[in-house]
This record gives sequence, C-alpha cells and structure tokens, in this order.
Amino acid sequence: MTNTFRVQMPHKTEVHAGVLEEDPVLDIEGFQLWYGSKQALFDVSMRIPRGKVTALIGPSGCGKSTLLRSVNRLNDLVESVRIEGNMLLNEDAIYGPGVDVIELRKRIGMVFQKPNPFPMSIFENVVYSLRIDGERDRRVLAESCERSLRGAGLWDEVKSRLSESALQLSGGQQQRLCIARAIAAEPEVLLLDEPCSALDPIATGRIEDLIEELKGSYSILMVTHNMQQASRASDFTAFMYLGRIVEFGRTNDMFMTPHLGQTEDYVTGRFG
Amino acid sequence: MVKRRRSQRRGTSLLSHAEPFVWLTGGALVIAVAMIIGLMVLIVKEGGSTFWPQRVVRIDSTDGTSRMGEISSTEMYVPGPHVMAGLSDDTARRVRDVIAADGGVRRRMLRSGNFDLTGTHYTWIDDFAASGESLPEWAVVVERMSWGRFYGFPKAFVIENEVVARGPEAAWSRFKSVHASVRARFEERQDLETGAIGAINAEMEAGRLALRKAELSSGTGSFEYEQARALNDEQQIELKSRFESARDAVRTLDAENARYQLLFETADGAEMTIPAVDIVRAYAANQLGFVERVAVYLSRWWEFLSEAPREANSEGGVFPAIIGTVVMTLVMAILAVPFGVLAALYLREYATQGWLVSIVRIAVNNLAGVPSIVFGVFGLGFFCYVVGASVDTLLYAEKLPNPTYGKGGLIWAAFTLGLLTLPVVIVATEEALAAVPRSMREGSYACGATKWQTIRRIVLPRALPGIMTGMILAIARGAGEVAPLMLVGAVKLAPELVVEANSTAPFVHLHPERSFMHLGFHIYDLGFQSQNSEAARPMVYTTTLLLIAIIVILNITAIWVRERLKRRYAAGAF
Ligand SMILES: Nc1ncnc2c1ncn2[C@@H]1O[C@H](COP(=O)(O)OP(=O)(O)OP(=O)(O)O)[C@@H](O)[C@H]1O
Ligand SMILES: [Mg+2]
Repeated sequence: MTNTFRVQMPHKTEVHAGVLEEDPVLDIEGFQLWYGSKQALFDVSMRIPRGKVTALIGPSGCGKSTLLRSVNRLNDLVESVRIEGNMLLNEDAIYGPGVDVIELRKRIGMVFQKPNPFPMSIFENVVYSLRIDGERDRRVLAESCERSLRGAGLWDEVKSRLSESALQLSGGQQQRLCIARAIAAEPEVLLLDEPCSALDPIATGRIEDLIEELKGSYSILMVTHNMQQASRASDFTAFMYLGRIVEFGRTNDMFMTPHLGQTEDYVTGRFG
Repeated sequence: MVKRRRSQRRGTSLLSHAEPFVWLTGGALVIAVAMIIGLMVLIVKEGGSTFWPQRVVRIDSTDGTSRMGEISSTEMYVPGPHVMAGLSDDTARRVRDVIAADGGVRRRMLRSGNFDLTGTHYTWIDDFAASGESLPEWAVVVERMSWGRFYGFPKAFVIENEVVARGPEAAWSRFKSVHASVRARFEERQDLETGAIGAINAEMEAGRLALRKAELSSGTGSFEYEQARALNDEQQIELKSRFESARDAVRTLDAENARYQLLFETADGAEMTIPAVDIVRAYAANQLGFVERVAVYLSRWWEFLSEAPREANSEGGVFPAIIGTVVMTLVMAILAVPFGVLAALYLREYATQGWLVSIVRIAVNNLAGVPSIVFGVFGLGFFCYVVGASVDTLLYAEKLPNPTYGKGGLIWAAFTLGLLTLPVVIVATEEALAAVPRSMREGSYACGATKWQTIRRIVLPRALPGIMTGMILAIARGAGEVAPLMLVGAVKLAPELVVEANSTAPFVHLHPERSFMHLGFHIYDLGFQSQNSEAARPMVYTTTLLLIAIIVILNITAIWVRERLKRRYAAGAF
C-alpha cells in the first residue's frame, strides 16, 4: 500500500481558509524540536481555535505526542531536548526567559494515553491541582470535586466512594477521572493524547460523548489514531507527517475534500 | 474416557518437565529450607524446654556417695585406659562386656547443684558406678539468689535460731506459709534501695554538680559560688536526714527477714541452712502434678522476661537486655531511615545521573560489605571519642573527668548501627523510587506541581511500601548485630536502664548516654565468657529464642504497617 502513496514533501502547511477566521487559543509559530541531534518537529505553525475540538492525526512516530508535550513543556523533563520557535497561550509566550513553567502548566490540562491516576483517593485525585495550590478549604475542594466529576460524567458512579483508592476504578473510569482532574484546574486548553487507545469500545464511546459535551466550554487539542473518532468528535483536523503539519482544516473538509493527495491517502486508509 | 486421557497427558507432561535443572534447583531449595528449619527446631526445642521442671533423681554410687539432681543429658562412650585402670577387676570385666555388646557404656550428666558444697554444678555419673537410683518424695529444688541451685531435703524450719518445725512435711509447710511475705519484704527493700535511696543519691550528685558548675563559671569565692554553696549545704543536710530514714526502713525489713531460715540435708547427709529471703523459688519436684509444673514453667518464663540477671547473668532474667535491644533498634531505625531516604531521594531524583552518581552508588553498595567490627571501631573512635568528648566539654564540663557522652552509650551504638544499615535503606529506597511509574510523575507535573510537590505527594507515598521493606531489612540486620556493639556501649551488666518511667511528664525518660545490655551480646557473654558454660548453655538457647522472637515481632509489626499502606494504594483490576 505504501507504494501507492504519493511521495512529495510539502514545505509549507496547507491551511484551509476557514481556520484563519477562528480566534486562536494557542498559537504555534515556527516551532522546531530536536531530541539530541535528531529533529522531531520541523517548522510547525498552527493556530488552535478557541472553544473547538482540534484533532491531530498522523502515522505513528510522526511527532504528535512530541508536539502536545511541547505545549505544556513536559519535554523539559527530557534532558536532550532543544527547541526553536515559540508558542503563545492566549497571547502569553510559552517559551522564553521569564516564563514560570509551573504557573504555565496550571493553565493547561493534559490527559495521557494510559490512565495515570495517582496513588490516593478519588477525591484527592480530582482536587490535586487545587491542593498543590495550597487550597485547604474543605468546601471549595468538595465543590470543585463534584463539578469536575460531573463534568467528566463520573459523578454518579463514584459519589458514594470518594475516599476510596482511585486505583480500584476500571480503566475507563480511571481515564474519566484523569479528565476530571485535568478540568478541575479550569485550564485554558485541554490536551488529550490518544485518550481512548487503552480502552474498550464502550468506554471509548463514553469518552467521545464526554468530549462532545466539553466542546464549547473548553478548547481541546486531541491526538487520535482513529479516523472515525476524529471525524465524529472534532471540529478541526490537522494531519501530521514526519514532524510536519501537512494539512489543517475543518474536519468535514479534511475528510471529504482534502487539498493534498497525501492527506487523502491517509484519511481513506490507503496509508497508515 | 475424556477424563482419563487428560490425566494421562498431564502425567507425561510432568515427566517431560522433570529436567535435571528442576531437581538441582529444587534440591538446593530443600537443603536450604531444611537447614533453616533444623536450626529453628533446635532453638525452639532447647530454648523452650529450659524452664520445664524435671523430676529430681537421687543416684547412689558404688563408692558410697550419693548425688541428687536433674538429668540434663545422656551419652554413650568408651572409657579411656586411665579410667579402666582405676576400676576393680570385677567392674572392669563387666564394663568390657557391656562395651562389647552395646559399643559403649552409658553415662548421664546430673545437674547436681550445691556449688557451695561441691564446687561444681554438674556431675557425670557412669551407669556402671551407680548402685541404685530413686525419686525421693521430699527432694526439693531451691533456686537461690546466689550459688545457683540447691537440691536437698527440708529438715527443719528455724525462726531466730530456734527450730519451730521438724521433719520435711512440717518444715516445708511452715516455710511455704511465710515465703511469700518474706519475698514481698525483700521486694520492698529493693525498691527502697533503687528508688528512694537512688533518688536521694541523684539529688546529692546534682547539688554537687551545680556547685562545681558555679565554681567553673564564676570561680571559688565569688558571690554566685557562695550562694550556690549555701544552697547546697542546706540541701545536703535535708537529703542526709531523708537518706538516714530510708536506710533505717531498709534495715528494719532486712532484720525481719533474717529471722527465717530453712535447714536442709543433702543426699550426702550434709546439713545446709538457707535463709528464706535467699530462696527465689522452691518446689518439691517429685510431688508436682502437671498443672503445678506448668505453673513453675510459666513463673520461670515470667522471671526471665521481667527480672534483672543474677549471678554473672546465668540466672534470673534478661529484662534490661530486652529493653536495651528494643530501644537501641528503634533509635537506630529512627536515625537511619530518614537519613537513608533523604540520601536515596537525592541520588535518584535530584542528582544528574552520570559517572559520579554511579561511583557514589557503588560505594554505598560496598559499604554494606564492610565487616561490622570496622563500623564498631569507627563508632568508638569518631562518635564516642570525638563527638561525645566534644559534647562533654561543651555541656557537661562539671562532670569531667568522668565522661558523660564521651564513652560507649545507647546513642552512639544506634549511630554506629545506623551507619551500618544505611546502605540497606538507601538501596531499598532507590529501588522503590525507581519503580514509581514515569506516567505518574508526568501526570503530576502536567497538573502544575513542582518537583518537591511531586516527590512528596506522588513519589514518596507510592514508594513507601518499598521504603518500609528497607526499614524491615535494616531492623533485622541491626537487631542481630553484636560485634560493633561491644565497642560502642553494650555491656555485660548495666546498672541502670536506658529508659526510665517518671511520675512527671513526659513520664518516659530516655537516657541516650547510658550503656546498655543487649540480647545478642548477652548470648555471647553467657555462652563464651561465662566461667560455668555448662550451666549457662540452656540460657543461651532461651536467650537466642527470645532475640529471634523480638526480631520477628518487630518485623511483623513493620510488615503489618506496610501491608496496610499497600492496601490503601492497591491497584484494582483494569
Ligand atoms: N524521549 C525521546 N528521546 C528521543 N527520541 C524521542 C523521544 N520521544 C520521542 N522520540 C522520537 O520522536 C519522534 C516522534 O515521537 P512521538 O512520540 O511524538 O510520536 P507520535 O506521533 O506520538 O507516535 P505514536 O502515534 O506512536 O504515539 C519518534 O521518532 C520518536 O522516536
Ligand atoms: Mg504518541
């Protein structure tokens, strides 16, 4: 199948007209990233629309996770990483000399591929970001906990056992707990890195419904390998290949009338 | 049909798995387990039976002497030529016949006691030299305050040199009626001596030290010094009168106790008078029923666990050693665990992983292989003589030249063993930290947590069971260690306990500078330093049993805590 793929390297991202009209929550400008001497992101520029769901698709190893982890600077933890270019979160630079990384991360929520609840109670998991901010008021914590769990569609299932260990929940529940934990801090942007890949179809369906509900109140940037998921759940889709954003546009256009043959090959499953 | 086929298949698969390696590895495990179980069975059997009251046997010899006591062991042997030469022709022939038939003659070791009369606690008696043996009804075992056990027949009970009861039965019942009250009076005078008189002595010493302190800081003749001296003189007068009255009370009690005596006759017919107050426990061994023997057994265990030792540690209890072992081990854990955890945290979480960290890690691991006596030497040289001596000159100058901290003591022993067990804690903690999944740390960072918040709230709780495992290993290692302790504070006999109960808050007072008794050292001392190792041997087993029991209890407590922590963070099914 690979041989039918049209091999040509676009140097400029093909951006659809509709994207530019959107108000950006996150503005990525000429971002490049190296792991040691190996470059993983090449001149990535894209504007993530506010209050919308943007899906990031592309073959394995093309740099989707790297891009996502660059937004909240988790890549800082990897020693060999070097970057160029910048990103703006609501007009504030993410990279730069005066940036407080800790404060920055509090404005960004992230959910990982594998659910990673903390070794503590369900309640403490959800209010973790408030706790590390020094919040002590039991009422504030309880309110935030309930709001976030309701937001993540988990409240009815766990309300009677908030003090039990979070590790006793099922995989799907754990992932929704992680979403609740991420939205408890009321982030300006929510990063989801293949949130359903470790889950069964039913749990996946619930998370997709949840993303649908969160749309509007949150700006979401979501990595997915699942074309149906991307077309169902997202408003915008970006196709990434070998560290570059190849094409970026409304999800409908990307799946129905992609501008580039490369994108068409990928979304129709001829390559991937 | 189906069933049969399945069971046959299982049989063949078992055979096909029975490779030589299975036998080799399994055999090694079995041998190791068998040796451990063998050791435990020996210790439990010997240690557990020490206190069981046996029957008292009287054995008459062909040479006309008689011995009485408890049989402690039996063996077959072939007498040497010099023994055979000393026998009459008739006996020698008989012995040779027995050897030809059975391969040896039997001899028994009798715990015959009466050390003050015979100069020995044990006697070997050959079967061929015995003319008869019996279980006398009135054979009495007497455990005394000094000279060890006594075996004999009660003959008369004496009050103030006057015989008030004659004959075994009457004397025995008179003795029993007063013994409890005599012992109670004895306890009372002991309490007075260690309690009241000890307190007065301590106050006198404190007054003397206060005076010396004033002298050191202001010089003799200064106003402060004169003031302190006037105060001290006043106190000393009052203390002296209190001392006198306490001493009088002790004398009265002693005088009352001295009135009662029990007259015994040994199997040989010698007479022996034993003051009632010297008798710790006495029983007519051959009259005891099962329940009474159990009572004697339990009361001996209780004495062992709750009393101080007597007679060069071979009699009495090991209470001070229990306290010393437990307190030292706990102080050690309190010192070593936080230290080791902090060091491991730095190594694993903060240090840049590179060759330097690798070298430090290797060095720490190798530290665990250094012979423990080397740690003892270091502890003595550094902790006692450098740190301790500096503490003395700074804070306890008035007591010099008597050292307070500048000698072996609980705190230095705990430091030394803490150092010894530090590698264990560090290695275990590092492993536990490394096992915390990366995804959990990243999740925490993504929430905006700082490094320290992540460590404190996510990494440490998650690693806690592993850290506890390190602590358990450290306790097991530390509590069983003896060699370094001999240099830094464990002693044969400690006059004072390292923890004392007080009537005022905080009620329990720790004396970290005092030297202490330790069960491990006690075992060494009993088994190898005692003049009478035969008599001490049963106590060695019992003390070993106790030491193992204490380590097991400490470990079980720690494991219980660990399991509770684990359950709190138990991973549910996915
Ligand atoms: N810590 C790292 N050190 C070195 N190289 C890395 C590191 N993490 C990722 N890479 C490399 O960077 C490239 C992009 O990886 P990334 O994880 O972003 O891909 P991805 O698109 O998320 O793939 P997948 O869909 O499989 O998750 C890959 O070639 C990968 O090998
Ligand atoms: Mg990825």
